Amino acid sequence: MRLKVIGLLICLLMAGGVVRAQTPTPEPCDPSRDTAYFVGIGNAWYNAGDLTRAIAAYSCALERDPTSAEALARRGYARSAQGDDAGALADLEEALALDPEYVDAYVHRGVLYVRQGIFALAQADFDAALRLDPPNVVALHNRAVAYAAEFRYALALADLDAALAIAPDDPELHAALGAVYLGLAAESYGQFRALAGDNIPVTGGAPQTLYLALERNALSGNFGEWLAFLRAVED
Amino acid sequence: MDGRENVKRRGINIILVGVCLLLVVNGAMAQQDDPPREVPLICDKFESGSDAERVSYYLGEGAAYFNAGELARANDSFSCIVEQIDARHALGYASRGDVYAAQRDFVEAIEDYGSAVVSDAGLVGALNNRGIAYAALRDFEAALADFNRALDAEPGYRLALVNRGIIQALLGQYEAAIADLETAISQSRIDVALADLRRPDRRGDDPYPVYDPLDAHAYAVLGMVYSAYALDNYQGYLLLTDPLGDRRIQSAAGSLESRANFDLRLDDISWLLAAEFIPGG
Repeated sequence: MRLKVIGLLICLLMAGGVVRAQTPTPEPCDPSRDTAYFVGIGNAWYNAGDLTRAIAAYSCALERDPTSAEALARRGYARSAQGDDAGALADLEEALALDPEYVDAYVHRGVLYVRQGIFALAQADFDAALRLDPPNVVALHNRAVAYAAEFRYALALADLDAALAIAPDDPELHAALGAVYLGLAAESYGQFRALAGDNIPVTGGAPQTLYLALERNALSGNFGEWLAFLRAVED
Repeated sequence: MDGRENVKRRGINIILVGVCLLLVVNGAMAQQDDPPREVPLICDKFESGSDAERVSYYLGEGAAYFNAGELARANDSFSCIVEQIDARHALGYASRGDVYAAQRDFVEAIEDYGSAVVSDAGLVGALNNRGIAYAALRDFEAALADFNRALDAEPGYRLALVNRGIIQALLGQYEAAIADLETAISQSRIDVALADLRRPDRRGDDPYPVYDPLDAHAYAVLGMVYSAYALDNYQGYLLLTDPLGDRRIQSAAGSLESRANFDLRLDDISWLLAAEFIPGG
């Protein structure tokens, strides 16, 4: 029996890996490689979730060509994903200085500004992205979130409607739309309570239940919840 | 161990080899039946760049995906090169061949290494790796032919020398196998390093010889080949003297057979040396 088990284990190992020959450890920034190669390396590590390696590869790309807006922007995305907002902003600003028509870099910087609560700058970035690429669903979506975070629900709804006209089957847009309506509902119930004061009729039933639920709901002006509806730039 | 145990053990070994064969062959057949690509290949990176830039991008992307273990994505990256940018890009084919081999799709790997060689006849590593893929499918004659072709193109190519030695031993050509392995050893000068390490007057503070540890692999394989050769001779003796053969030889043969069927299998392709087209790191 033991022989069979060992044999099967060997079978499973068979035809598996071979000895990898000629496996020199590459230099961190192999001088024989060009910018595009390192951007490719960086994008793959970024998508595979290894942000440290992605940032190292983009930095290699920038050693080759310090004026590569793509390498700068993508390093910015990776730094942002790592939580290094300051480094990300610096990279994105440099990328946009080199290429003022880099739509995704505007969108990404806008997201960073929303995360920092700087809505005016965020909206300006989304505006810039949408001037260059009017049907950009991600920019419309994120601008709507930025508006909603400032309780500007009408503008948020207009952006989401425009985005849904382009991508009616996009589930993230529908989720954001629902959140905006919830925000609106919370706002209306809040106004009702402000007007009614202590004279809220304690009748129970659906209106009362809904009000209490919405009052507890973090969407009623809780900025932290809106961040969840921000959308990443799609690769 | 008495004769009945020997027979029983041999029976188990035969069953295990059969299971191995089924696993390898079924695996290959399953790969052949793979459906065509369901998601269209999108290769829109660096679209405004030159073909050289785009190839470079996908070489990098594919390498990192490969090293991250994301083989399907790595396959797509290299496919972008050979299917959408340059249908004659030898390194693109060879790299995708490495991915297929890692995915154990040896049929596709053979196809890609072949395309690499068509695009660049001097790419002996692709011939070598195709030989390994043939060996994985247990087509040892085809494997031998590829290692021969690699060595015809580049007589000092040590990976193919070691690999040919293994295949020759599998085909019962022990003398030729030993000759190839000895050649690999002397060409790499790993024997000089070994002699230095074994020197009786060697002092503790003498400098350590410089050598590539990979070249030491030839010694391991040589030992396995000698063991297989010894087993072949023992079995010849036991066949001639059955059932009255010397019990010490019966015992030695059983021990060697056990090793040859388990941890020191020459047909385990993990002993073969592959050229690496995808950089590590």
